[in-house]
Amino acid sequence: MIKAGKFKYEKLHSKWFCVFINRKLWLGPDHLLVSEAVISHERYKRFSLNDIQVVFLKHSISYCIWNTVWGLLASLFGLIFLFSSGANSFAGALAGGFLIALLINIYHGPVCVLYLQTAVQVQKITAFTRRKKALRLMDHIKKLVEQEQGAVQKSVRPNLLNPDS
Amino acid sequence: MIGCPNCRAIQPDDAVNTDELSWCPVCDTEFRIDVFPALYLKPEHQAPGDSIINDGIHHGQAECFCHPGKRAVAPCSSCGRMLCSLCQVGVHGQSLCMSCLESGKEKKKISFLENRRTLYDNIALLLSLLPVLVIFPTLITAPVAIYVCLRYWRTPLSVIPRTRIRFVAAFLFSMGQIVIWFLFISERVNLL
Repeated sequence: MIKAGKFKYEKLHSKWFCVFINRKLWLGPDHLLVSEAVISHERYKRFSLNDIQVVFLKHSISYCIWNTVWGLLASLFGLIFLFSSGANSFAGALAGGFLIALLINIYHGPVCVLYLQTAVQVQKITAFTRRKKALRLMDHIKKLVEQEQGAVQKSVRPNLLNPDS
Repeated sequence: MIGCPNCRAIQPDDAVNTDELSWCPVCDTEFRIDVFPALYLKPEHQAPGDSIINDGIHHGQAECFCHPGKRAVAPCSSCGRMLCSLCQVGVHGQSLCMSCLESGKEKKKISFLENRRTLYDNIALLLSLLPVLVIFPTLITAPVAIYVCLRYWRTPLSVIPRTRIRFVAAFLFSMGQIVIWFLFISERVNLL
């Protein structure tokens, strides 16, 4: 009987609601596991902590897109509410709802995407994560990888612009 | 070389491993890059492959199950067959032969080799919830959802921690639908 695989994964990052792909990040004994759940099945990708070369984070444009969408909808229904004959309470309620959505989006701040690079691939590990949360997660991953590989020392680090040096 | 995650422009050395957000001078994207020692490791020079020809085992030494005449180095942790260095596969500190590795993957006994699982609890829940929107298909989908719940209750759900709450919800919801259908049909029959 093969006894391997009895460890328990620790959750590093997840979202309670996703429209298409629910991507979660888990920590195993010596690896990170990215699980991507669609409706009927779940796919797994494992990354050994020893193989991770780079983790990078970049700002996503979706924050601006959602701000624009909520702002436009709030303005549109706000104008209908103001200029329609009689008090159009339905348009007013919709305008208020979209305005609240806009304010919530602004309050939560910019959105980031986190990627992980190994020698053979670049994998998106989180999508649509708020900046504060993404930075915290990045710090956590950095700590975990450095426990396995050690930290990069600036004195011995080759010049990244000239890899032959 | 580390490029900007957005435009791939090469970034200066001091923009990496800063623990803070930096700006790409070319595309103005805000990013953070953490680099680890694995990036600088040069590929190790590998030893030439082991030969499968007879390497002259001495009397009393174990020989490989798959390559007679070749010296065994370890037994398989699963089936106990003696394995030479070519046949032995190291998986998480265990020595396995290829057939055990293959069967372990197929029978889903080695969870860290699995890269896909079917979520039967999600299927059951969707079967019990979605058809409610159009009402009539629930006559068929509710029993199907109950079948899925009972048939796959003991099936391992996911590699990652996951409860069976969806199965319970799907079962209760489907049972509710069946009871409602039963009451509806019995009322119709009584009316006739």
